[in-house]
Amino acid sequence: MTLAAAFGWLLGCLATLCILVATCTGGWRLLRRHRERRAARALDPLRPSAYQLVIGDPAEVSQALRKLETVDGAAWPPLQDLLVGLFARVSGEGLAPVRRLLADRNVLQDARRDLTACSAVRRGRAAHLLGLVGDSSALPDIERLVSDRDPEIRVVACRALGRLGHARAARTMLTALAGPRSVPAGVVADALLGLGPDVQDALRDALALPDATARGVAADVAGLRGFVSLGPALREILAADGDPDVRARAASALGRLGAPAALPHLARATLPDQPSGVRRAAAEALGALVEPAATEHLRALLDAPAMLADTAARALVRLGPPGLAALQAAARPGEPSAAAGALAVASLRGAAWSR
Amino acid sequence: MDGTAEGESRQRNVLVADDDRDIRELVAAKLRNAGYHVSVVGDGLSALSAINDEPPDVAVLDVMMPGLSGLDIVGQVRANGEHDSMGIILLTAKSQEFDVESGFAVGADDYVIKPFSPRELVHRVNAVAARLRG
Repeated sequence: MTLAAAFGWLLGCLATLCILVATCTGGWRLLRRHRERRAARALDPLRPSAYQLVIGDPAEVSQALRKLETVDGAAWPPLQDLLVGLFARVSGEGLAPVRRLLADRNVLQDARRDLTACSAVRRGRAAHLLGLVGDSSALPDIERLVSDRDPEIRVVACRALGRLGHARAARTMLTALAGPRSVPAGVVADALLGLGPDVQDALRDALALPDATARGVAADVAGLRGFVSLGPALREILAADGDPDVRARAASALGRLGAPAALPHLARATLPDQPSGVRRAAAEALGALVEPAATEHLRALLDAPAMLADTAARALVRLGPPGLAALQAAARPGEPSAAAGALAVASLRGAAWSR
Repeated sequence: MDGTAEGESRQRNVLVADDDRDIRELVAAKLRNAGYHVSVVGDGLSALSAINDEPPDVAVLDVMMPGLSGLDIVGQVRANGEHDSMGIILLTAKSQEFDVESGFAVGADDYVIKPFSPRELVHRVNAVAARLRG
């Protein structure tokens, strides 16, 4: 065989392979589309009954339950997806019949069993479903998945725990922020926001953990949830924590809590001997307190380095009339400054909002 | 029945705009049960067009919709001043809560966070409709 013939033969093989791959891909897509259409056709007549389960009066709910209990074959998988999906869309006691139907059809039982399946996909789907439906009996098994070998399952498990809303899961998630099988801080923080008020004790303990990520997340959640009882612990963190990022987050949390008792602590954190990130966060938090007494501390920052001065100027705007008066006194006509910039933005915003 | 729309001299019109079919149909069914006349659309441009063609008494708008967001619609509707008497309720996902302030700033009357209780939504529609009557 000549070199040209061998090259031609190779090209022919490659072309055949490409055609085969394209045919298989196209065929698979057609098949999938056909299945989706068939599932949609099977689901359409059942949708009104599924909605009646959630919004109907008792007689309508019973009628819908009788109809949906007997659904089988190709129609059940899409119906199950629809029913489970309703938990992400609506809330309230109207979901109780849907939960009952899923339990009667063994969907919840199967999911609880799948939490220990070898397949990561099955474990993840099960945790997602049980979290969505709010099956508290699965709580211990889902907590175990927070340290699963698969990082994606750990994320799904945290989100499921957040949906279940039990405060006892908080310690498990806060502990999972460190170590070889850790969970991203944002996922844990988001899940912690979904837990009940009992979570405060776990957050207080987390503020004293050696892991800086856990302390930072606990500070964020304490501020976002408005847990005023954690104010003293946050003030301690702001004053003495060894990590400047955690101190800055404690400052932001104190600003969100809005307790005037934090004012002297935040003011101290804006002094020149403090790290720049802490100073900026404290200045912003002073604005969030909306306390006229913060005016003097923020005015002193208008001559600080640009970023801090801008933050202080924006915070003064938040203080209202006393802050605006301080900015007007500090702004020199025709001279660019943080005070002049904040006043210009405030004026534009005022004009836009009053339109 | 949760609604108060029945028994009034005129059946109140509600427009429900959401790109999620399940939410759209569920809310529409619940409001119909409460005595409202409901029309539904699945994107922002259709919602704006429906409002301009036949302004409803109350519009329930999803914040995140293809074409035009709920916030954009509120902004446009309130800016031209033609439908000031129309009540607007925004439906927003938890992660878009920061949009709520903007929503109120441009003229929304209320907002509901997903996942929401359909019963509560009807009460809110009733309250907005009652304010319009007042």
